[in-house]
Amino acid sequence: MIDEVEITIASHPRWLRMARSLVEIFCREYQGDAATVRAIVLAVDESLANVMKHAYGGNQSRPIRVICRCDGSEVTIEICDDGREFNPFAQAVPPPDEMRLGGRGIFLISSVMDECEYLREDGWNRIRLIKRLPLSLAVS
Amino acid sequence: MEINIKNADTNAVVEVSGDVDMSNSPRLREALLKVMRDGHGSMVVVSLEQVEYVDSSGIASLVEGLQEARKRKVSFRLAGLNDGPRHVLELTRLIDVFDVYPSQAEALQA
Repeated sequence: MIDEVEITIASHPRWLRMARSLVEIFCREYQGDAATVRAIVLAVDESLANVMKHAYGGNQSRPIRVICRCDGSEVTIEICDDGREFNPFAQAVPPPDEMRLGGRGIFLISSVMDECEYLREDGWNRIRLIKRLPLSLAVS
Repeated sequence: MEINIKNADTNAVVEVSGDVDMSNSPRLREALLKVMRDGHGSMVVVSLEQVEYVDSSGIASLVEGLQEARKRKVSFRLAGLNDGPRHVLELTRLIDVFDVYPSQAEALQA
């Protein structure tokens, strides 16, 4: 069985909290592990912030779709926008440096998720973040 | 996010509560820089006991505060990290860059 939930938010930072809440509630349906839920929420928040800053360039009224899906063995989050083409995972990710003020978001996303994919389809950026469930928690 | 600044003769405490993300991290940055500019004592304690979530923009605000403190030779301390903020600092390998204390009281006493 595949469960799926989708919301569309405006590209305004004030909606980040709502998106985090949705993802947290969805993941808690499948995950008892607080650290894993926290990691997924962090990756989604950082991805949304990247869309707002880079794909939409600060335009705060564009749509961002957030789709949460679980097939029992892994949680997949898709984040879709119709802003300018922007592949966050094509950027070089320098190692953390205490003196740098920005640029840690993509490093964090890559660090906490099992798979991160980017697709450009029909004028939409699609980011797919995958976190596999621990075997003891996987559901059929 | 709420920010409450308590100034004393020898230190300043910046109490933060709520999530810190892209929507409000510039306010945290401004608060930290203002405390430093106003020059209250030789120590700034950022109390994060009421913060469950910090994203990379919040981390950048803390790093900027740390950098400003170093310029001014002010001791910059983080207190009361919950699991979420601690995890992000660990992932970004900044946990050892900051002076971290279990609580605001311990940060002020150390």
